[in-house]
Amino acid sequence: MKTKQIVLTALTIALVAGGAAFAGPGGNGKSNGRGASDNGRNSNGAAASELKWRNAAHASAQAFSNASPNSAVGILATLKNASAAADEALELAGLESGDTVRTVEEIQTLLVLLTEPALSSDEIQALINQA
Amino acid sequence: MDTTDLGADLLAAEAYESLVAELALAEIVAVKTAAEEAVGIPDDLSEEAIAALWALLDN
Repeated sequence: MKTKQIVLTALTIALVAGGAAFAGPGGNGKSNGRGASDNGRNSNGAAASELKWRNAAHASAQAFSNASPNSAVGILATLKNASAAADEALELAGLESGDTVRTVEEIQTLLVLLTEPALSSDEIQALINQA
Repeated sequence: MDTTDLGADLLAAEAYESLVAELALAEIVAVKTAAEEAVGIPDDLSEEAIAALWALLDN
């Protein structure tokens, strides 16, 4: 379990560091132009039309790495990286993408309860059973 | 019996370690969920459009 914890923490750090790498000027204009020009070549016209600004996903890998975080490509790059990190973390935990995971708030509540003094062993066992 | 007992301490330590690992996972999943919401998944797009978008992102 400790190994998982370390790996997951490392993934979190990598994700945060990856987000910082997207910062940079000029990404928005380039990527939006690319997405718009590719729009007509999309074989699924209805989906492409519905995607609107999200057609910036056509952008090159370089545009993805250089995009400003608030640009269309930057937002999509964050999604792409966050999805990859989540999939990897879920796999490490023996879960799949659709599996239910407790929220951060729920887990933090349990941690607070667990670290409060004077819990009886029965109460601790009940917390473990919830985990 | 309280947490000063060795058995209870061990149980608490195990539960704590498990929850900390689960918290790290939940934080990563929360980042993904927030990123999806920023893109409008699932509320603003049809299933077909979402599939098309993932196909683009996976290439």
